[in-house]
Amino acid sequence: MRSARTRSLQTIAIVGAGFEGTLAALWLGQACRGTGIRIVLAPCPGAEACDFAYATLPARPDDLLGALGISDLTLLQACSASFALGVALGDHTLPFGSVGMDFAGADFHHHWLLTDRQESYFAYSPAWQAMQGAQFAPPVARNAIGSLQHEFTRLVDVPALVDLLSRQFESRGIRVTAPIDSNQWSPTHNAHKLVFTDSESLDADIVIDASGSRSDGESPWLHAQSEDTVAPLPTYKVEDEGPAWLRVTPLADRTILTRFDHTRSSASRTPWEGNVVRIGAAAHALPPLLPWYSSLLMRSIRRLAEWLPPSRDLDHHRRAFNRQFAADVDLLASANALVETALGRPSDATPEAALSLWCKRGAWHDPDSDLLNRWDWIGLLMALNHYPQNHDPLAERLPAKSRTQHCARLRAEIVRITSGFPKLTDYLAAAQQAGQ
Amino acid sequence: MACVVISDWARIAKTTNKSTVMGQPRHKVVVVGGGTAGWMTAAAITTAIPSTLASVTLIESEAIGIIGVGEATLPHLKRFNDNLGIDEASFMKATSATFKLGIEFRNWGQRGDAYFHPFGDYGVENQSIGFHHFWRRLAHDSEVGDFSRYSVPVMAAAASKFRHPDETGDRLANSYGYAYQLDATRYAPFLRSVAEARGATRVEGFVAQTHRNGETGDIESVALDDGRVIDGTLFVDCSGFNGLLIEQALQAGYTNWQNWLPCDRAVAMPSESRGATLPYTQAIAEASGWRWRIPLQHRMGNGLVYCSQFMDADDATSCLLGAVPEPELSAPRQLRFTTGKRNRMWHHNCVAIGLSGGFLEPLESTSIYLIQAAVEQLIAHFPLDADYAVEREAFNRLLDLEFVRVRDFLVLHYVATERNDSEFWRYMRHLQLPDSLRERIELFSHSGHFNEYQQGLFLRPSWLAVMLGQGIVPDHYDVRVDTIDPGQLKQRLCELRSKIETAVDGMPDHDAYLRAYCRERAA
Repeated sequence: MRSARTRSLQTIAIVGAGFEGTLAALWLGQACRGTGIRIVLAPCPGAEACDFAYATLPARPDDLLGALGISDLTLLQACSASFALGVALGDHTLPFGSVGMDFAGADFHHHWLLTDRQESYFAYSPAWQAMQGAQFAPPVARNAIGSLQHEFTRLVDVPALVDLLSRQFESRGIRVTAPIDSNQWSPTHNAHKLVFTDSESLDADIVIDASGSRSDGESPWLHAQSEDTVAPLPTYKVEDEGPAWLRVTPLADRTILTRFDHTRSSASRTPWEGNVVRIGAAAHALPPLLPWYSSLLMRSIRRLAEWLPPSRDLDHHRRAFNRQFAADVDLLASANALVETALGRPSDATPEAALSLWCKRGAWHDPDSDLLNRWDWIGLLMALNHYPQNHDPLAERLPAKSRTQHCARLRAEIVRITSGFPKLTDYLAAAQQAGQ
Repeated sequence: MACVVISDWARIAKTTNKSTVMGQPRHKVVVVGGGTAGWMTAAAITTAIPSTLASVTLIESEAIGIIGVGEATLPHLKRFNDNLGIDEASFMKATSATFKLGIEFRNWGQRGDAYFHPFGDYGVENQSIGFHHFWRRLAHDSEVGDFSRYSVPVMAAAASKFRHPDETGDRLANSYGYAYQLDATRYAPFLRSVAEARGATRVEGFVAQTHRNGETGDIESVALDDGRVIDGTLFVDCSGFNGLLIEQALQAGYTNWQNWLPCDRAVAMPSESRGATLPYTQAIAEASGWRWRIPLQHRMGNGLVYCSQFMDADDATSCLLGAVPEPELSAPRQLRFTTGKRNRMWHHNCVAIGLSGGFLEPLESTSIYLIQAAVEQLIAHFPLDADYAVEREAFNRLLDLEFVRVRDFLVLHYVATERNDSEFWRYMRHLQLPDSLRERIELFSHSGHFNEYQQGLFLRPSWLAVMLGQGIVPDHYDVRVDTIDPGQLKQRLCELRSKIETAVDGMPDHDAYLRAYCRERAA
């Protein structure tokens, strides 16, 4: 067996030191530690403009923060963090995590459709139940109701988080340069000679564009402002405010109000061109309505690290990365479209065929991207009142009495378990105290 | 390999009291053809779909023989049987089945080589880096050894050992699945008893005519050669290659994939079984195709798939006869096929399942799997009312994807080769690849990475087995592997190999295990 070829990748430059660039630098720095690959971070004016989009960071499926050793306690202390168990999308509430449990071979929602519906569908969601009492506790590995678990999204002050992350640069061997000289850096995505404002220059094998700006100028960002919070609730909100979407994110000590243009929601199909890889807002302008917005960024960064091209021959990796990104971004655009339509702004990106199948019989097929899993989709569809007209015939074959008993047991167990959750304010206070 | 999520049909069936069902079902399902596909369909529908929703009538003629495709199966069949509530040992006894840990491929990358495609993964993934990257870094070191040494099922198969994997046991030692090698001509009758016990009606006869609705074009009924007319609302065409309903009546059209998979003939012949039964199928590349060896309890299944452009029927028969060492049990039987798939496997009110829906050569034992996939999708999309265009579209989309991805995987075997010793192999080496496959091969060759997908039968371990087995070795490995000291890495690989060897040493002999299992459990 011949030896593997010598790796020729030497330098990766990240342009933009906002949240996107900082996270990419740290993650790549961790992945490449000990490999001899240099990670260079070049600040870029305006890159921080989209940071506020990342105020909602889901703990799943691509939790890079945890993998970087940044605990929830650290976030609480340094970033005014709080936690959301769900999101209010106008009048619709989407709790995070699983709802009910499949039994007798049919998904839970089919059984729920066969009940008298005295209890709402989400009454079988631990997250929804906890939200009713403004309670919070992180999920445990295995509880009394087995696989029925809530999930949560971290709500953070992003500038503070960027500051926290930046402190790790030195220990991870990341070199931060002077800001990039915008007059010298070519946006054609072919040049890789970077020139900085201090006249230093650098040859990079790969440039990661985390500048937060699209070459076509399309960007949904308007602005963010903060106001005082009396007592944070374990949920955040998205509302239609006429000319803009308004996202209300309650942190531990204040609320961030973010507004973004709802007429702009395009995305690139080829974020990796030449030797430049666009990530985050440089790659797409989808509005951050749903928590998976942040997952899209984290997934791009994770894939880059996992698929770092070993040589300057980038073609194969470029194609693969772009294909996966397109699948992810299509998925997020579809999910956004469902929300936008439910909030009164019909979208062309609505997944019509899949929605028709769902509405008719409650079936949903996993696409090739798992940015949102099957349960995420089912939760979102039910939250937006897309109740299927028919149930799976399999569910019908279970005796009604068994179904009723199963649902009652499930509901009682959810109430019992979540009743032990503290109030979110108490949880945050206790966590702060524990850290002191 | 990926698992299709389906429901536990049998458990539900046990809770059903069919005697309380009143009135007529909404759908009268008519299955045309009673081979493996027909009875798998009938058994699944009568088990999974409430009798209030569907009745099943199956038309078959004893005058028409069963082709009996797919003696070698994939692990998914166990789930199908489990969902029907079938006891494994009884099934194995009835079909003279043996256990199967994978497929041994001989002479594919080049003459004289051999590798194994196991039902299981290799090594242990670490920090989301695939095991093969670690192996690749040290693959030049003779002490690190062949990639296949890091797979429990490969090593077990090589030693002719088998036991059921224990889900609660050590993860590495039980990191495999298994399938069956069965007498396909016995599987259909076995399922018939299941289906009939659950309400399926069997009609002996031969479909002579199909009646369609003049307005909608849907099939309304079929007329048998004795004049009887069987009407229905949903028809399942399991009539074989001819596609009696889907093609002859509905002209759904066929996508021909012979440009990628040009083999179009097979000759099959059972022989006596001699010696120990092996827990794996063999696929041996020949000058103008490939030959299978499938060990059953009572006989050996043999066959040669070949390309008529490069080999005639007589030569194929001679090749097969010359290669089978055991006495034959019957004369060689010739089969013709056109690799490809029906343009719309569900067209109007007719679903084509089995050979009528499409055919991909049985190189990776996918014939019964593709029947199973279609049956499961039909169950999942079973019409709830008279308007089921939405379900039909979803079914067709999913089955198309399934077929395309299996096709790419099969084509890989023919193009990842250095063989240059016959017209056939020279032709195959210069095949114009589907873009999806070409990109996959290029990415892996360069860096050892895969374009992962969630849907599809063959996942990363399968692609690894064939690519590495047929000589596609990546130029590079994941750059993150360099963070580990090579000495430590070598030590870890050594320990892993040792654990696998210990696990395999503790396994019983396949033959002895099989006999004991079928004798004791089925009793």
